Amino acid sequence: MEPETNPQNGKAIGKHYSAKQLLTEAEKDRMFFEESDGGITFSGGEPLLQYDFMYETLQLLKPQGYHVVIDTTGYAAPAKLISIARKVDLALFDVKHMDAVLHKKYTGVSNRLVLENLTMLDEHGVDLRIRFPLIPGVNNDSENLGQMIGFLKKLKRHYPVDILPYHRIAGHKYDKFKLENRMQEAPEPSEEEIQNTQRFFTEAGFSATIGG
Amino acid sequence: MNERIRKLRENSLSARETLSAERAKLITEFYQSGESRGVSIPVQRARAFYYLLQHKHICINDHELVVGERGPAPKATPTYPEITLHSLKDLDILNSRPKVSFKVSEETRRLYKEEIIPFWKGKTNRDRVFEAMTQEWIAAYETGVFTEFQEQRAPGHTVAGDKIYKKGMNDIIRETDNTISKLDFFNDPDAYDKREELKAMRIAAEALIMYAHRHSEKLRALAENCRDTSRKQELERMANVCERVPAQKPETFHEALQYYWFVHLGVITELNPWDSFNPGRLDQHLYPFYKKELKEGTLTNEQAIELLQAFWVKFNNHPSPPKIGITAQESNTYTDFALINLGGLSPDGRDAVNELSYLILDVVEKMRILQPSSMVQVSKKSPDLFVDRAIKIVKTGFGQPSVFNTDAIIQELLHQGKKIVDARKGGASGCVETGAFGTESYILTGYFNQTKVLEITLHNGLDPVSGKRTGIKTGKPSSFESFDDLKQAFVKQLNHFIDIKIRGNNVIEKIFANHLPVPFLSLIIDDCVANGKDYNAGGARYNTSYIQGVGLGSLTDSLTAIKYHVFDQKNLTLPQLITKCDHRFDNEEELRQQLVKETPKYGNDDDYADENAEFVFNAFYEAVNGRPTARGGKFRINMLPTTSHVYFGSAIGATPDGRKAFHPLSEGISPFQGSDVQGPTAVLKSAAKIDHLKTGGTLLNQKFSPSFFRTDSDIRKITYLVRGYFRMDGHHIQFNVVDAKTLKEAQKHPEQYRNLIVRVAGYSDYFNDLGEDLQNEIIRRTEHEGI
Repeated sequence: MEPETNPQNGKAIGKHYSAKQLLTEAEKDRMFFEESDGGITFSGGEPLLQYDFMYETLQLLKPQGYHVVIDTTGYAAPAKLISIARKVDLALFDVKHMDAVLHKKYTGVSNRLVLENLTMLDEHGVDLRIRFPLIPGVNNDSENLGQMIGFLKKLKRHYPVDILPYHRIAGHKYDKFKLENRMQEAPEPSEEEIQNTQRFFTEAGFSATIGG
Repeated sequence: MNERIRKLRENSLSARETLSAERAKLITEFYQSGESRGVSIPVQRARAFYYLLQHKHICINDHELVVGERGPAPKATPTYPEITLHSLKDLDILNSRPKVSFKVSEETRRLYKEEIIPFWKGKTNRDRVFEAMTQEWIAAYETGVFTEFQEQRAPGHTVAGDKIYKKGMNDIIRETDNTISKLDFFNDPDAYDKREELKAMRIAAEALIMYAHRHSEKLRALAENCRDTSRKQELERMANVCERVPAQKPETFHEALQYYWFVHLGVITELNPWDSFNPGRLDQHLYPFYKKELKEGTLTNEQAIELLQAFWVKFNNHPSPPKIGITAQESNTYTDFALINLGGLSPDGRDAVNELSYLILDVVEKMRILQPSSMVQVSKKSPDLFVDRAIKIVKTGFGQPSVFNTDAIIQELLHQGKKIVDARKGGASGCVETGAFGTESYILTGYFNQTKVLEITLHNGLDPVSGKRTGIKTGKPSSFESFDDLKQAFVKQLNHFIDIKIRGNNVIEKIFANHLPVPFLSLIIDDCVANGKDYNAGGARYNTSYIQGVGLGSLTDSLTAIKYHVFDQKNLTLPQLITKCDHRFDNEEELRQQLVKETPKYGNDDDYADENAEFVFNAFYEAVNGRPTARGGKFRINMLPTTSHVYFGSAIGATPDGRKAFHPLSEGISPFQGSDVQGPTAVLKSAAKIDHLKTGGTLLNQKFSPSFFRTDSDIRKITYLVRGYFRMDGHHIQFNVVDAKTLKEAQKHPEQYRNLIVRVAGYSDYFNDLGEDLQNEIIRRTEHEGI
């Protein structure tokens, strides 16, 4: 994959790394990982879009004893997802909306594959944290939350939920890349809305934290 | 904070700095009287000390619990004409300079004009020093290659140990008598000198007892006239305390604090030693008193806190003695640095964090004043909870406490040849300087402009800024065939200037030893009494003279830029690059940007750049470390700038790292402002590549916006970051917690930000009181966006 270029000066943003170079970068911070019980998170975008590279990097990292996490949208080919998930210590898994039509409206794709993948990871005993991006008026209604809890309850284990309150900090990135920001109008949740959502989960027996 | 402390604190914060002629007048009177004639120099100095304490105004402020002021009133600051003499013009500058001025009264001016100046003109120690320096020393000094601490102040930089909590002055007097009685006049050629020194020490000890008794008398007189019965009783109790200490060893928490405070006043009245005298390991010294009294029910936690807070105010009441000449014009007022050490290890190597360590941190947080400053010593045995507590105070954004690595400090001291128990009793003082508290005379002798040496090397011995030939010929740049050739030339030039500095230091040390001994300070630092030898003459158990390297980041980046663009990429030749620097990158902004942005830089965990930091560090270490001092000690290095990186930058033209002419250099061992772009862990990794254990302290500054300290888990992350750095033997790290926007606002509207305190470099100051250059630099320091 080519790095994105900055439309203002045409220069590349980001840098090419080989898997081996990435290992060297990780090695530089080993001291701090060890002191803090920290580790490495593959995030994105969607890291599974670079499946081959990620697989190769994981093959190098795991024998070195790093704690490795994948942060995924869950929208990926099941075979690829499971092969990666089996190698990491933890998967952070997005559940954005339970309604297939609305999911498609806001993300461009249906949630069917996402939810199937979640069930698959659960069946394989992968350690998970559910990530719920809270966007007022989009996915915090009791109907959606109720369905989500219903779904999560049917899984073999009760996974902790991270509630991620929507924020607009990334707005300037859309401007920078001259992209249309379709979420520009979405409001940031109030403290009350955040707490209501948290209560919804905790009352249903889930451990739910804000941010993360 | 109770009402009493609130008032004391408020009075201290609102007191106006004045220049007091009291000490100058008394010392002049003493030397005019017959008292100083016909006796040895140490006895003369001891009698002068006695005279000062006998006639100094006794100042007892309302509501106080711990008494004694440096001057006749809070923030009335004495002068030391035997060291350096203020001219009338100096007094005018001090009175009117834009940054914090010292009010100079008409009476002070008159005294200076009629009595002090006529008596001391041409006869000060500063005159002696400059008379004894060579031409090449003067040239290097004037062109900004190094500074000289002992030019306007006496050698200082030591910290009290635990002696005074175990011995009264009467006990110490018995020790001086004992040493005198054992002097061997048959076999020891120095026996007579020792006797004179010990006699002087005895007089100095008696002087402090007398001074305390004068306080006691005044307190009793105040008590007699006091109508408020509870204050009356308090004054009587305080009178009893001053009656007992420092004559006897302290028995209570209150007595321990008051004893220390008298000692502190003694040290800074005797002379104006550089900057840092303080009680050191306060939580360790006070703990036995605290525990005992708490158990006996004679002290409550609230009373201990109140006493500590009252003690804190005392430090804030004394600004550093005002400078003269250009230094007075340019520099801001600052309070003498007193860095209280908390935590660390006990003499037997156990974790020394105790209840009092936490209690004192509470005091630091509540008082929120510049002085005393505070730091935590973190060893691998210290609990995370202790570090978290310290960082929670750091988060409030007034630069305290700074964080030090006890295990590194101990290894540094061991490397210098100290015994392990003495090392464990040590810590850091001033900004970051390592010392064995109570047993070491460790004198800071001046900042050394490492970057300037490269500039001179690149001009074959000529200083391009002054046009003077201050260096030696080490080869034309066009003759350097490889980067190694340049490095060799640099090392030769470095050694040339270090030789000049060390020669000067050795002469200045002797001048102080011969002319200005400090018998009082010698009582406090072991083994001056047992050796019968003065602190300034090598009487202490350990004697170290430090030279402080400045500009590691700028120098490293300049060398790296040369290696990269000239020798590796061959983008241009060395003479071409030097010419562009000489022309200050005039019409060369594109090249300058390339040098700034497209060159490997120190601070990014990039070996290409960092190996030059190692080279620079090792060259400096080899040139200085282990060389003998005139006091019988050793020269050592540390890496700290205070604010000299601004002054040193103003003496250097444009540099190959793309730094503009006369702009500030990098400070401490921090990367050049804004050149670290790989995040804080990369900075720490780079900084840890130099061998901290070979130094007597390094200073690393990291600026974070408050957002990094929001939750407990954020705090813990910072704790782990510190732990990671310390595991790599990092010596010290400090955090500036404030965002650039706030600072810019403060610059625009100073009146709205009068309370804004920032960490400058090893110490904190009011942002408003800093010069504009320094303000801008603090704004520029990288604000890290994420961990």
